[in-house]
Amino acid sequence: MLARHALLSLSLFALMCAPNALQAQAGDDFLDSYFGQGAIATDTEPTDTGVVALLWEADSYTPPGYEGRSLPSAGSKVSLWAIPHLGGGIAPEQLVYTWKLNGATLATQSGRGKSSVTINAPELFGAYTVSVEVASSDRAVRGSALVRIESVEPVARLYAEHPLFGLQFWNAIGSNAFVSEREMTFVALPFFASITTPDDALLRYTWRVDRRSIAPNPARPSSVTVSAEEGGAVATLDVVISHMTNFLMESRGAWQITLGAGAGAGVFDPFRTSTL
Amino acid sequence: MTGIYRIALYVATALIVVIIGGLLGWYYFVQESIDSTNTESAARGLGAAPSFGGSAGSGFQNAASSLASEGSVVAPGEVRAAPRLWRVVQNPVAGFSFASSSPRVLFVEISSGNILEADPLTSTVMRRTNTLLPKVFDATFSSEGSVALRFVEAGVLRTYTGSVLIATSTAQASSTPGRLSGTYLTGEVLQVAAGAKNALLMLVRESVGASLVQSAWQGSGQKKLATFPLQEWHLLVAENGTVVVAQKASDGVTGAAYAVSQNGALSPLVENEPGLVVMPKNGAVVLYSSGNTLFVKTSTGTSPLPIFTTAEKCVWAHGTTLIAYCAVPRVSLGASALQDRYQGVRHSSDSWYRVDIAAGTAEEFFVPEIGALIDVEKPTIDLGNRYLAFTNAADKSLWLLRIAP
Repeated sequence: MLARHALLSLSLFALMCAPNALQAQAGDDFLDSYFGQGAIATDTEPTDTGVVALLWEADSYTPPGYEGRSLPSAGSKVSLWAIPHLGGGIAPEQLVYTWKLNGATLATQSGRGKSSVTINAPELFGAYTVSVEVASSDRAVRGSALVRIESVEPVARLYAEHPLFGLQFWNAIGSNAFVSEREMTFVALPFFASITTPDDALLRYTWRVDRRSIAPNPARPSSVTVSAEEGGAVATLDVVISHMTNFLMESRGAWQITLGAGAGAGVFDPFRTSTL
Repeated sequence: MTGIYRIALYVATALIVVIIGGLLGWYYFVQESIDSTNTESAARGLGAAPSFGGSAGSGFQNAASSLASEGSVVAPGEVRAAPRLWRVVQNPVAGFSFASSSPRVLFVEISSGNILEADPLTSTVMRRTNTLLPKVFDATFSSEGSVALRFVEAGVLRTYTGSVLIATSTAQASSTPGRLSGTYLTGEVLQVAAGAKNALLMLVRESVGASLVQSAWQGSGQKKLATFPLQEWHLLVAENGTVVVAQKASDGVTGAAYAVSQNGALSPLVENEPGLVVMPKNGAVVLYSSGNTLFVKTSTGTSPLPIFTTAEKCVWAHGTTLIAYCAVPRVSLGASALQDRYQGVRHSSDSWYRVDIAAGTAEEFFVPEIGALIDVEKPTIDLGNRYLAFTNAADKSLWLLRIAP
């Protein structure tokens, strides 16, 4: 824990002192043209002949079937793609792309036809700006765009694992939840962590039930099974998810779950609500 | 000699008596056990007619039987037209589609991967297949009755495409469930959509980015339409067959959507909109939302619409008139509404509006009863523009709404 706080402090200090830090951007044109995370700002130089769309995504973890965008977190990668609409009838692969990170040119990733780049995500709580200028070799047509990308802290969500329906990803367990079953398996998913699977060998799950640590399931450390005596019981469940090499990653959650709350509570189960 | 013969005779007789006695004893011992077992089995209900089950299967019947008291639910076995708002099934559903020529709805159970069919004209539900593919999280139907099922098996994302028989008469509809015949697709399929002429559209993960691939429904005859350096796209197919790729949305994060031509060229529909969600009518007309503000973009320009919702809660009516039906949250869920909904953290309670694009008006036409929390997702409309089908994002239950009162 101390090491994590020390690293956080160092990261924040480094952000404040870095020559290309956010503060250095204050007053720059990007703030004037900034409308929201990922906003595109077209350069206002009169030589612009068109606009450039700048698309991006991160490779952080989201479960299969997740409808939303993966967001960058410390340790993950960000991919960007410039789609020019410059006119002149020049194919995109014939245009020259100049990529800049916080104003510094990414020389090896710039050049003719290099319409996409992949870079490390900002550090924890950090942000950076990426800009691209797209031009023909004679610069007769050109355009540019800029995007600001922020890192987020991974979010731990808890879901019930039903024996028939599988992971009930449509219904995250709330901080105070009622479950009709007296025994239930729960799975913690670290949204936006820099992993590919929640049971990544580099992740460490520290589960506690009613403030007592319990050993994780070695085959599936992201899950825990909680059971109650006849008549139901309230269990306080909390988890801390940390990364063995990425010390800046930590995600935690706590839930108070009433098990055996009776039919109709919490998770639907047709084989328990039956009148037969 | 006579003495020896007599002794042998006695021994043989004694052996026969012992054997017969043993067999009789064994028979009575076994018979008693059988009687005892039969008594126990009878007490457990073996041999008696089952007290549950039916054309839709016991799981469906069992769930429905506990819900018959609610107005929007029809008790199993009851034959009457469904109520205006009909909860077809409370069991979680992976996907659904209207059958091509009627308001009947085909849907896939998450638990079994079985395909069932619901008819709002008779309130009946029939099981169409009994091929077990458990824990399906996504199902996509083609217009010709084929289906693509997606599930995770041993940590690996898999896609199974198969064909089912769509019943065309009552006699066929009451037949026993059939098998789903198909194949597993190779590669990591990130998204699936039904294209025109029973084509299958797939977004396939590449080492860098993803490819948009078109094939026959069973995966044969693959043709790569386009490649992208990014992977996080939604695949949509407009009514006229236009293929649209749209970046996955997140609150406050800009997104873009493009129409993809057969040669892979991208035509921008909407770019640079925070929290962008799109619902294309065709390659030129699109409903889109930025945050919870809804817009329509046509060849003449872009206009805001007088309701606050996301475009994924809308569906275009079939035909040339620009009419859309949209579910609108009764209470705004705030700045993180998209992410909260996608992660199952919070859900809305929606009313239904009819949006006339030409007139720029939106009219509320259905409000669920107080207390009914229905967070509409994947709204679909039948070819006759009479019924809306959708799932409730809060529990994945399947619902049908008759548009006219």
